[in-house]
Amino acid sequence: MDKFEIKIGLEIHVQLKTESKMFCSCKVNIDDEPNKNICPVCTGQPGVLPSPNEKAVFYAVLVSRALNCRIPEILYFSRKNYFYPDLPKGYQITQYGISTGFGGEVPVIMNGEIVKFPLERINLEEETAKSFHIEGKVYLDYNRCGIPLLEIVTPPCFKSSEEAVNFLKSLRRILIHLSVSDCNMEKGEFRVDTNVSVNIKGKKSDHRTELKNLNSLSALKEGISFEIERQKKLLEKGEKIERETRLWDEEKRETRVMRTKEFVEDYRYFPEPDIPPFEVKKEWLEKELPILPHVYYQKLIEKGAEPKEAEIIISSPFLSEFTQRVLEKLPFNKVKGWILTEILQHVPDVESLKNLPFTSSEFIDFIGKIIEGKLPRHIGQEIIKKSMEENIPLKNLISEKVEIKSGSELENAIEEVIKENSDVVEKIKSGKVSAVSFLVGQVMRKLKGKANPKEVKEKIEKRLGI
Amino acid sequence: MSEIKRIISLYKNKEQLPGDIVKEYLKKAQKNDFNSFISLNENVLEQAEELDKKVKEGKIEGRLFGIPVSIKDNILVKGLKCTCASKILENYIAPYDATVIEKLKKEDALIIGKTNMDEFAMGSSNEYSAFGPASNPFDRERVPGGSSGGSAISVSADEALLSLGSDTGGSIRLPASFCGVYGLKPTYGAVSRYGLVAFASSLDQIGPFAKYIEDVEILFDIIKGKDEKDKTSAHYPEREIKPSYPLKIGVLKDSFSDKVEEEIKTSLEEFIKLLEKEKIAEFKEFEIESFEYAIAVYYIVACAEASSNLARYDGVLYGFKSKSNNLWDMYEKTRTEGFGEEVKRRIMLGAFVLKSGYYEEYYVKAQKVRTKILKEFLKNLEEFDLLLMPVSPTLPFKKGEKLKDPISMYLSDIFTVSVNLAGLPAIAFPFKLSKQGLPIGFQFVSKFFMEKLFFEVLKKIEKIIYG
Repeated sequence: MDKFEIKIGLEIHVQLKTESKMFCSCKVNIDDEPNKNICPVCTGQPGVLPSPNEKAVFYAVLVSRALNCRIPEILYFSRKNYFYPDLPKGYQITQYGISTGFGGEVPVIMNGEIVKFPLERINLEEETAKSFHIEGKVYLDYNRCGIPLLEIVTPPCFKSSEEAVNFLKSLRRILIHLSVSDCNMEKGEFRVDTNVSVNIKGKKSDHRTELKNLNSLSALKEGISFEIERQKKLLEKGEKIERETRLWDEEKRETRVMRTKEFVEDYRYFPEPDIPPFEVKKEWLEKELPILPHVYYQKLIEKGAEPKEAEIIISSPFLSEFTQRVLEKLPFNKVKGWILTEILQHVPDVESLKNLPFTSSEFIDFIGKIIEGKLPRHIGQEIIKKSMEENIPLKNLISEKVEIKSGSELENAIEEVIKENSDVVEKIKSGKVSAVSFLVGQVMRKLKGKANPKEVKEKIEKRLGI
Repeated sequence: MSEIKRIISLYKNKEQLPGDIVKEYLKKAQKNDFNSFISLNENVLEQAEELDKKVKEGKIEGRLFGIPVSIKDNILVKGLKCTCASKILENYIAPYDATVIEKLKKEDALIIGKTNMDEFAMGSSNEYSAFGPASNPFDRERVPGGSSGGSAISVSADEALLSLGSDTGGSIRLPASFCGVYGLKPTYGAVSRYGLVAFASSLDQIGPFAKYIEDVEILFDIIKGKDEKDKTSAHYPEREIKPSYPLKIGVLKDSFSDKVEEEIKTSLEEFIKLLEKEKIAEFKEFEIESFEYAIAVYYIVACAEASSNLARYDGVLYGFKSKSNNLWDMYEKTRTEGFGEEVKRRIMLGAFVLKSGYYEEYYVKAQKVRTKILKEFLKNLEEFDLLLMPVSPTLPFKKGEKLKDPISMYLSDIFTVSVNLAGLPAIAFPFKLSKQGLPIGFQFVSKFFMEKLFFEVLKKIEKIIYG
């Protein structure tokens, strides 16, 4: 039995995808040239006052509802006071004492099961500027400053890096399904700080290290695992674990000390006097929530999907809904290849898949034709390809390209092929039955592929009496 | 009697041009005898010429057409310096107009310049200014009161016809009273604070100075109203106010305490008798139990907010930056060298009361007393139409007299701070000159958004006193 007790806590910062910033009307766009989307308010000029972005508050409420948090009737902001060059006012407007969401839980997909992990709180706040260190100089880009930010905090409830990473994957997916953020980790839209604390079971201790610079899920997994092992080794040697902040070194693949936490910063929080407390609007609480990814996941599993297959589908809210509609009419095993391979091979990034050139009912008709044998598989594949590549609705392609030749046209073609290949016919009749497929190929060629090979084969066999 | 109306009618009758009027005021402002201006608007004559053309074309529309106005140097006027009388903002040029300035410009007012004040509006004597102290126009040895000292002087000494100042704990009323003019601290939320450099956000209000009550009213009407940029601003309820005389006026019992100078007490009695005689009002004493805590509560709340509001002056983005080798050194030196003593004292006091562990004991408790003060005021305002009290316990004091003793300086605000804590409107009005020839003024306090009552009553009183 393991003698160690592992506690991992997460603090996640998520940039909200609103049109304008949290407290001014500047555009939210971090890709623009530096310091383009700025104004007196988000750069903290003397005399300015903040005007909260209602959409951002609504988003924070929406996320809190989706994660089953308790939402107070009255919300207010507070000031967190500290000095740093990326913080133009010398304080950050955030929530303290009152959060948009208290408690709550995140349904996490773990080894095919749904496990619920608890949350502590969800706060709405403003983003700081982005600093760049170039050749020993610091440059500041205030395009990021003032973008609405959600701070999502968990208790130290995770026992392994796998749990933590699965939690983050699920949380990210939920936020994407709620359309409140793109959660692009590379762009810094979804950032994670981690607390790791390893103890010998039964021994009380309050040490923990905070991990920073974990900028991808793989770095998180590796960084947390590294830190757990590091602390275990120290404990086994009987050494003390310092309370400190450690940085993940992406190249050396190890954590190293960034700063020790002997001095605990006092943020001198107090209620923001420039923004009166405000009521949580009824309409924010009543707006229908979208179906959450774990619900789609469970349905997919019920319909026979493998966990991996289901996870791919639910990574896109659009594809989740699309697939669900298709599965109302068709069994999963009849469509999975079409969706997971034929469609997705033309999609560079499943997560950001937001539409297809065809509707689910068009797709259902399309698959129906294939099942009925009216549309040969290989032509179906070509149609999907052309539709995806050229953005053409399926139904246009089906009617244009595929009118399965049958009846007299098919009979005539078979007659012609038999006439033209009397030598092959002889061979077949003398027992080389496998040569039938050659004749089928010839017929298909004659009809430019617009026939069902199975039907052709049957007809030839019948005609030749075998 | 309105000087604004008189001058605009001169324009309308083409008897005078805005250029002529502004030159008269500007001449005095340029002399700056009382050090009331920190900077002047170099373009004001050009702007007046534009208005001259409009006069000739008969296009006089703005309610402040061609009226010279001075602005306290903590209100942003685009393109002009906004120093807050601090070294730290010595060269800061405002990149936008405060909402009140937009409104003045729309009415064709002429902005003469930016007035002296206590640094970041922290002070009661206008001595804490990086640009030197200002002087009382009635006695240059004495202080004009603060923090909006320059604004009060400019109106009193005809360097401007009107002025805008800010009142956080008495900063409009005290200098108005010391300089013998009217000064209105509007209801909290009546006037947008957007573009007012924040000292204590929950207490700050912009308000007008003028020599005549009707002019106070005109200026207040223009600047009041909800502003989308200021979430603490409110829709101003429009209503008819017809006072029924005699009014019921409550006189604060503490007005006659031994902390108040004798001549102020006797003048107050004189004022009361006059109003009784004229059947304008009947008087009765009232008490505010928590009155003695008002100064303490005020300094906790105001300093806490100030410590946060002034954090942005750190040398990174704008204003004064001290040379240094590393970030923390730069912060420390910039703020040590950039801020004056009083500002630093208040920032430290504010940071202290917000410290975790002290927050509950100071800040939270102060907020509770603040609520109690408001409740007591409102209770008394159920009984009385107006409340009456001195503005200051003393006559304008000598320069330097209180500089060594910050607490005695803080006590100058004993009659003014509680009104800011309650968020109520109050107006300082001049009554008479003391034996030494120094102005004595009093203040009325009323219910939320009842400024109109001040105007109606004071118009009547003004007529009686000045004819």
